[in-house]
Amino acid sequence: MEAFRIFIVEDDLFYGEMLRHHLSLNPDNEVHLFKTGAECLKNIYKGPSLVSLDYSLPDMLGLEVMKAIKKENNEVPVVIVSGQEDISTAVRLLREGAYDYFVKDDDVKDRLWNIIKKIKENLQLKSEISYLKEEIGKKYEFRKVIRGNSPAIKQIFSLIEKATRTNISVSITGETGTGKELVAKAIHYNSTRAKHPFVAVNVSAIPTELIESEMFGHEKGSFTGAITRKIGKFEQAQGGTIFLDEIGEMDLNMQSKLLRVLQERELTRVGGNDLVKIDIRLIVATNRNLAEDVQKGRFREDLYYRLLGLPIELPPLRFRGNDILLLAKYFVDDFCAENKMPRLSISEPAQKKLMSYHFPGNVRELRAIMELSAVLTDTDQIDETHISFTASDSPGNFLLVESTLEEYNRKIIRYYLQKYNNNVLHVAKKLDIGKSTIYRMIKENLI
Amino acid sequence: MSHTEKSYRLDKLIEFIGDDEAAVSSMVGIFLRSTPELMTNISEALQKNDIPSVGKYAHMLKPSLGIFGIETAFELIKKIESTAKSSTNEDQLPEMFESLQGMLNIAIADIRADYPGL
Repeated sequence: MEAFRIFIVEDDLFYGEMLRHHLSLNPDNEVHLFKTGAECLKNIYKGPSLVSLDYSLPDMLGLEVMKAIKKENNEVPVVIVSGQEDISTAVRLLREGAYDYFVKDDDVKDRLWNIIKKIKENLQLKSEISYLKEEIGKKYEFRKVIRGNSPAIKQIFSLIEKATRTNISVSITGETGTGKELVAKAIHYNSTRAKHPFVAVNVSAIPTELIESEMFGHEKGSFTGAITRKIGKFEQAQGGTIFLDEIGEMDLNMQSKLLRVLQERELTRVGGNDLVKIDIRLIVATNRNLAEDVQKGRFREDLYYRLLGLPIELPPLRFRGNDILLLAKYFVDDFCAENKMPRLSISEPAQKKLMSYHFPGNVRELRAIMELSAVLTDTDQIDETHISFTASDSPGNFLLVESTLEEYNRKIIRYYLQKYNNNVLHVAKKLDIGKSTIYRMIKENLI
Repeated sequence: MSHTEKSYRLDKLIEFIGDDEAAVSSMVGIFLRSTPELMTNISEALQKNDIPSVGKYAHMLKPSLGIFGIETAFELIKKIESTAKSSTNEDQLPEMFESLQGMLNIAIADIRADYPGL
């Protein structure tokens, strides 16, 4: 650990030397004693971890010295020690940014020890946080997070790179499971805002009546149940990025409030009067067609244009060709490594089966399918029998997989049988076909 | 003066800065230099009847007398400081200062005897 450098600025030689010896009892402390403010300022480049400042120095006032120190480095904690008790001076100094203020008496040494302990803990936490932030940043290096070689995804890489260079708003569209939040995080953690928070809000998950206080915070007592002041998501994201998922679900009333906040770059907490300046980058996502919502009057046009910024449209997995296999292999490897299993390969027929599927749930679905297949296999290979698609029988995706008319027929009958609890008579009636046709298909193992 | 009734004690100092001979003698050195200086300052302020300065220098002298365990002098300097600051019974200040001077002369002589060369 680097030495904890303490500057003592004290013209009373006796007192200063006492403190110097006292604080040097801890070998981690590197104590420097200065008799004047000027001497202290001359050495400020050494980067003290703490400055203990006598208020009345021969050459300048403690307040001036503190201001000069803060100008050099605003982070340095400055403790003011004074010969006399004077509340108004104390208040003024604390307002100007002093870390603490106390009067010279027998307690000074204990107080300084406590302050040093606190500051050390703080420094340690800070260094841990910056380490963790770096780790997170590494985790979101986007070429590691978003994988693929298809032209469709390469185009996305280039858009993300463009987005990281400026503060432009980004709107991400794409089907469910295409990785909208991942893209938002990739943009944040590769931008200059990476050291500040990334705050994600799923608009559709918050009840309409709570959304304003959730986003902008509220003051104590502003409504029943508001027992303390609450800082909203926008303020939490100060300096960083806020990601509003499912923005299309926001009601019109909230839309106009959001628009105002984005225009003014400041907000008011619910029930409050103070304006809070905000500095955030905005990323929104939706799987709806917002332009259509605008036409139908469900989404404000002015807000739409403000949010649009750099539009990124994530391709569905089925349009990403060989990325399906690349991702399938990656998910299987990842799952095996995480569960300390030997590596698995994917058989030719299994690969074919994957390539012929339309993945309505996109990458998220592929991941689930591959993890399940890795669990199901008893050998070192994943076969087509281990690959099962749950969504393929649902009627909504019916036409997405190209089949023969014969196969479509079987699919329809299979779906109806499932729906009506395998009641063949009922299904035959519904579809207006003979019940023997169904029985024959069952017998021939066609359905 | 018997050994048990020493005019000063260093246990507070050692508690404060640790049992380190070099540090202790450096503090003793500073004490021997700064105390007569402050006494002169108080004496000069008294002659000029500059009572606020008497209070200020008394305040500066106070901690060292406490730390060096010069108990009666410590009590007296506190009294001098509060008298100077409250601006009552100021006429007693010269007398108090004289007895303080006497006590400190003894203590300083004892310390010099224990730390020759400082």
